[in-house]
Amino acid sequence: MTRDGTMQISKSKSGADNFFISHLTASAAVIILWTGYLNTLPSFVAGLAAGLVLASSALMFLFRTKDEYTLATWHAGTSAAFAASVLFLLADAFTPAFENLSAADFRLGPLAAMTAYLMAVLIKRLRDRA
Amino acid sequence: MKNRLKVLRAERDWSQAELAGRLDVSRQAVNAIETGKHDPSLPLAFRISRLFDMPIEDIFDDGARP
Repeated sequence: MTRDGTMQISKSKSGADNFFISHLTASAAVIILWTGYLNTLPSFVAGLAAGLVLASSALMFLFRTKDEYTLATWHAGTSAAFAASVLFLLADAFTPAFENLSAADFRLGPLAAMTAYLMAVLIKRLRDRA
Repeated sequence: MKNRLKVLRAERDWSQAELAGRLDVSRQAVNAIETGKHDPSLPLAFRISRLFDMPIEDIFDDGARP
């Protein structure tokens, strides 16, 4: 708040907005990547989506500490991504269906982890809004 | 954790965005604290306490007091 009573946009507010905008961008890009995994997409579209996921993830990482609520949502997301990664590794080790996976199929692991992260952040935001 | 943040804010006729600006947190953080879905950190609890000029235990209730 400034002396004349007008509201000043705080670093926390703009940081949190940037974090949640990056989350939306990454979510859209991951949907495109899943579409590319299940069907065929032009390689430049898949490349663009992968680039968007990387850029958005970097922005979320940078803005995660701007506000304690964004940090809490970041932690919820990373916990889910960790759980998804462990499940993928366990499935890889113990499930016969995973034995014949091609190298391309192993993109599924990071994609599943990223999806789990984005879903957990979305669910936390929706739950906390009520 | 239950709290009186929403009531105290309403008494002063502040919006969530206005309170967030005064506390230097995001509006989403204020909303999550008001709904009891997010417990503020100790530094933020102290800032809230100072802003409303009240002891922390008069704003937040952990349910442990008799």
